[in-house]
Amino acid sequence: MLLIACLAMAGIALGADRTEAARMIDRYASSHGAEVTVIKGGDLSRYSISEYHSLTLPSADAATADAIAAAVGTDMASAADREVSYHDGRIKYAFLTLPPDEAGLNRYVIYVCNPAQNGRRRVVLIDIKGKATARQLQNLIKITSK
Amino acid sequence: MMDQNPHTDNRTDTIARLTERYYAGLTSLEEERTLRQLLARDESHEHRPQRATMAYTAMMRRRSSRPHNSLRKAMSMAAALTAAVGLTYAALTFGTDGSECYAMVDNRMIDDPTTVTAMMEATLGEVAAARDDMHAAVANQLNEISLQL
Repeated sequence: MLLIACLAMAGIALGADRTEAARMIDRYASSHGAEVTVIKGGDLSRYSISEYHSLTLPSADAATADAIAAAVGTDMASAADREVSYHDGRIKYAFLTLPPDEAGLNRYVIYVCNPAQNGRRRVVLIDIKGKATARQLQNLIKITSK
Repeated sequence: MMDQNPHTDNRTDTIARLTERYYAGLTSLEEERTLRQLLARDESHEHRPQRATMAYTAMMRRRSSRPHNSLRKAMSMAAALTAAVGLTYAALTFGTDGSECYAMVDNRMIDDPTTVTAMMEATLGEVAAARDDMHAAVANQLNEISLQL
């Protein structure tokens, strides 16, 4: 009984720390055309990032794109800081700073949605965890684009 | 005159001698074992007290050789708690140690770190473009507002 209770608590604790974005990445990881990147530790430490998970759906249908946008909306509700732009009533870009996790690591969710062919949408969803500040992460994004 | 069995006499003597030594605390383990065996084979009323003593001693030895029930329960609970805490810790820390670097493209795995890092940079580049667009839009709006002033 004690063992089951402890394992249940561990499960809840593990689940409580996850963002909705992370759940979406898992959910759509095996979708057609999906591109998932997982990096933990290693070279990421030089950017003060512990974990990087991303999902790119090059041609998401409306239902999928809306489900992901809704998940980002949920994360946005609990975000400590946000940078969001909308287009036609939909989130086009979001940079969310979520409260740190139990280990004190900062958590970020980044979302980009652009139109793709045939009314479909290109969706990029990133879940990041690490000691990096939002400013450091934005600088990293700026550097990698050059 | 009754016939006396020499084996029985010999056994009775040995029991008497060993019993005397046993109560005096002088018996060796081997002698105690011999005494127990002799008493077990002996059914005479004469040696009932010795049999009772040896049976009691054997029972107490068995009891003292294993923990009491309450102690055993406490030890079981402690072991279960340790296992539970250990498993909980393992569950909480599972996957947090060690590094991982891979990508899945349309369910095909890529584990070359250089390629995966390049993919990460490309994705962040896409984010940067979206962020630049947003900043450009904000700059335009502010510019329009300043022109109105």
